[in-house]
Order: sequence, then structure tokens, then C-alpha cells
Amino acid sequence: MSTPPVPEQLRFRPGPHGDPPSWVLSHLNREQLLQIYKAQLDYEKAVAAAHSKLLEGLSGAVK
Amino acid sequence: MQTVIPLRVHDGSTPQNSRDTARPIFLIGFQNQGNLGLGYLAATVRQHGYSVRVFDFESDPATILEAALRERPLLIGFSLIFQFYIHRFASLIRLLRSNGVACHFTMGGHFPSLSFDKTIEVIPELDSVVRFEGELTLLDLADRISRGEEWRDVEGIAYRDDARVVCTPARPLLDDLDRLPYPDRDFRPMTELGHSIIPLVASRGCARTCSFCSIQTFYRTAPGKIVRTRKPKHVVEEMVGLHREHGATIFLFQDDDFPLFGPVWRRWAAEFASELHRSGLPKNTIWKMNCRADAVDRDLLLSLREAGLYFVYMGLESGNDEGLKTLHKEITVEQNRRAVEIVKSIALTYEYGFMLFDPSSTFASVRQNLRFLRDIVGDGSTAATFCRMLPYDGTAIKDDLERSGRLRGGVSDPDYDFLDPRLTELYNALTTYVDIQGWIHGYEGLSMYLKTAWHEIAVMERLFPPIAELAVYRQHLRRVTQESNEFLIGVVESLCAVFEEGTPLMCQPTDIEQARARFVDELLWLRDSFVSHNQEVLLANGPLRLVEPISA
Repeated sequence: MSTPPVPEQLRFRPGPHGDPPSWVLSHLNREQLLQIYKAQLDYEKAVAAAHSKLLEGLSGAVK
Repeated sequence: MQTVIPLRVHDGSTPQNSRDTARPIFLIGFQNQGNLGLGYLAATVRQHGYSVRVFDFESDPATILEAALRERPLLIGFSLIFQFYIHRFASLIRLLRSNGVACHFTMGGHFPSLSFDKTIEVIPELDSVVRFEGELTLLDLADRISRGEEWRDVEGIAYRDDARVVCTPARPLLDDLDRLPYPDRDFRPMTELGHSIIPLVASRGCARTCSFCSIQTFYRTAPGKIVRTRKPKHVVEEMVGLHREHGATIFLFQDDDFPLFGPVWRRWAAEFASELHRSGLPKNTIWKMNCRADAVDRDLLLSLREAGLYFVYMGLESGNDEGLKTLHKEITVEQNRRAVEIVKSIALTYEYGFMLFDPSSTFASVRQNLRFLRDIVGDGSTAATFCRMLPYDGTAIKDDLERSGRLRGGVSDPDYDFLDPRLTELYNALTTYVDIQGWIHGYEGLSMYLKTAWHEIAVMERLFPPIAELAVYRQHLRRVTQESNEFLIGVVESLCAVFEEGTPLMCQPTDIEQARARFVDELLWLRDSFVSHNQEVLLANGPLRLVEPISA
């Protein structure tokens, strides 16, 4: 079953409407904690990349 | 327009021209669903002349670092909503500090307020922690730092002094919320069928004492009145401004507990409804609120529905009286059940919070909870959803678990042992056999898809002209919701039988995943077919424009 095309403005956008933001997190499961850990690892990679980028910029400026 | 007497740190003693506002203030936090806490902070310090940059914590850390090095902020405030993210915040803070961002770093939120010592221990790079409501404290800190004055005696902060953590006297909670400016909304709002969704609050605080909730502890630990309501007239004025000037049509009240319960708040709610009618907003805007089941009253909700209420979120949390007692909900299963019946009977869309597992769980209570879930959502009125309660810092239940030696994990992964070890096996099997993320949690979960589809129907019924095929689509959606709810509840019941009675499991994880994928496909096909077929009317009656970020 292929889904019929819909205009961008009417695209299905799943997201919380009922759960207040804080409660979304207060109802976490261990599964979600794992997702948070994964996100933490990704974030640390992004932080390392930001650090390297800055160092490259500085080294370019010194040269 | 709102008439606001600007808040002063020390009324009358801090002339505005004495502060040095040359350098900006950076505020960093999650912007999921819009962060009103950051919005109020930003609006308050902007009102006093500071320029503010608000960053979504999800944005690239390199962008934040570059901006900090370029703009040399006076102060950076980090908003930590939940303790699970503390190590991620620590990574960003270390990146900034180790690359030469030398300004004052502070952090606020429920966890930092209540567990300030742990916060400073995990993130020693922080200069201070702002405790409890932060508007005046942040302003005070910024003023002191900008003038090069001593900041360590600012009310409502904690900081490290050599080996010890010092805590200054807590600043009282704001007594009059109407003196706050409207929050800035430095985020692009979510949209539904082209209609923008804007968060706001009518009150702060919660008078209840649920054992799993740190929000009530937050408000009880700080001095001052726990629950404060804004004047209904001011709330409606804010809504009118958001609607007229920014095209907002769907308002989500994010109050800890919307003011409904008891005679005083019933009067507040009645006055709010009157103000809404006077403003004309109910003709083309709708709003949602969060409340407890014991605040649900048919006549009151009917009158609020006439004033634009379309959606109610209730923290039901348990379907057995022992669980409700453990969670200190001070409510009965019967009250929960009756509240859901009332909401359904007056055709309001609803969702709920539900903790299938809590520290008092037994096989009998889990089965009771599943029966309760079937009773309320077996008709397909909304998606089945549940979770396991987790013990936060600042909650009575966490302290109890610690005292009884059942608390496990650390700051970022608190957990506990069940009294019956077989329940741990059940829980592990449940998360192994059933892709909980795919069924219940996360933006791609079936439950989130179903809830969004129901939300869209509520929006179409109220913000669009009648659509002939909507009734048929509603019937189909109800059937899919009913079937998927029954499937999920049935799987959990089967797993209970496996671990309690040794009954063999009748289905395999692949069967469960295939069923989930089938429900998702069917839902998306039904939804997109309906929307595609009715796109002319849906596009013709969308809002005039999308809302842009709203800030001073």
C-alpha cells in the first residue's frame, strides 16, 4: 500500500501535543535512557568535532 | 496590550541605567515543544536592557562555541530540564571552557535547584547554580557581573567555595505572575495541518504531593506561595496578541496543574472562560490543558469546551489503588475511570500518563493496570500508552527506595529493583520482545502516530469547515487504534502469564514487529488518503501565515 502524496503544509508531523514537555521526560523508560546514552555519545563526537574545527582554524591563523 | 510593572531585583534600589548591558546573555536549553522557562528568562532580562541569544541545545556545539568566542557573552545560562541530560550538558560546558570562553556559567532547572551540590560536583566548570524560579536571580547575577560587583551574595544561588558548596538564602517564589513580561518564544512553533501550536501557562506550581514528582518539591522547597495563577484577563490578552499578531490558533497550556480544582480555581476557570468569550477567541482558536482526574467535572468542562477547550491531558498514572497509594496520587481508580468517561462523553480529545510499573508492582497489580487500560482505551478512543516509573532526585519515592536499599543507578540512570524478581524478568522480556520505542515512545512510535492522528481530527473538527468524509475516517482510525491497543495489551498479558505461570509465549518478536509495522502502514495510508482527497478544503482553510519565532 503506497501512501498518496500530500502537500507539504498537510504532511503528517508526529509529535507530542498532549504530554507536557516535562512529563514526556518524566515518563521515560529504560529504552529511552539508552537512546539518551546514544545521543550523549553522538553529542560528544560533535563536541570533539567542534574542538578540532576550532584548532584547525587557529592553526590556519598562525600559519 | 499588557501593562506590566517591570520586576526589580530590589524594588526601587537598582536604577536601570546603572547596569552595563553591552555584552549579551546566552541562554541554552532544549527547545522541544518550546521552552517557556527560557522564554520567561529571556523576556525578563531583555526588558532590563540586555540583549539575549537563545540556543537550542540540540544545535551544533560548534555553532554555540563560535558564537560565544565571537560575541563574548556576559553570562551563559544553561537550562537543564532533566537529570538524564546532565552529562551531555557537561560535555558542552567543557568544550566552551576549554576553548577560552571565560564568562560566568550558571545552570537552572528542577534538578540543579534541588540537587545543586551534585550538579556542581558533576560540572565543576559551573560558577553558580540558580535555584528555583530564575527570572530575578538571573537578572541580579547579570547586573552584579556586568558592574564587576560581588555576586556570591545574590539570593537564590549555590556555588563552590574551595571544597564546599555554598547555598545563599532561597529567593521567594514570585508572588505576582502578572508582573512578568510575556515569555519570548525564540523557537519555530510546531504546526498541525498548517495551524501553529503555541505553548503558554496560566499558573505556576502544584499543590499536590505525588511521590514520583520533583516539580511539587521544587515549589515546596522555595519560600512563598506554592501555586500562583495569572489573572484570566492577562492570559487572554496574551492569547489575543499571539493570535492577532502572530497567527497562533492552537494553544497548549503547559501548567503543572491547570487551575480547576476547588471553589477558588473553579471561579478562576469560569472567569477565564468569560474572558475568552469576550475576546471572541473561541470562534477561531482552541486550547488544551493538563489536569488531574479529580478536577474533571462535567459541567465545568462543558463550559470550558464552549470557550475553546478541545483537548485534556490527565495524569492517571495507575489503574490499581495500591499503585495510586504508592505514587501518593490521593485519588482512586474509580475517580480516574470516571474522569475518562466524562471527557469521552463530551467529545473532548484526551491523552493520559500511565505508569504500568512502579516500585510497588506485583503481577496482580500489573494485570489490574492492563485491565484498566483495556477499560479506558479498548474502544480505540486514544492510543494505549504506558511506562515504568523512574525515581528522580527530589522525589519522596526516590528517598524511600534509597532508605530501603532498592535504589539503583546514578544521577543519569536512576532505577530500582522490584520486590518480586520475576517482574524484573518480565520487564526485561517486555523491552526485548516488544520494541517499546517503536510501539509507545519516540516520535516514530505507533502510539505517537495514533495520538497525532487523533489530534489532527480534533483540529479538523474545530478549525475547519465540516468535511463530509471525516466521520468515516474517524471510524477507520478508531478501528486501527482499537486493534493495535488490544494487540499491545494482549502481548503484555501473555508475557505476564509466561513469567508468573510458566505459560509458553504464543508469538515471537518478529510477529510483534510485523503487527506494529502493519498498523503503522495502515494508519499512514488511511490518513494520507483522507488528507489527499480533502486537500482542497484543508489548504483553503489553513491559517493566514505560519508563526515565526516571537521575541523582543
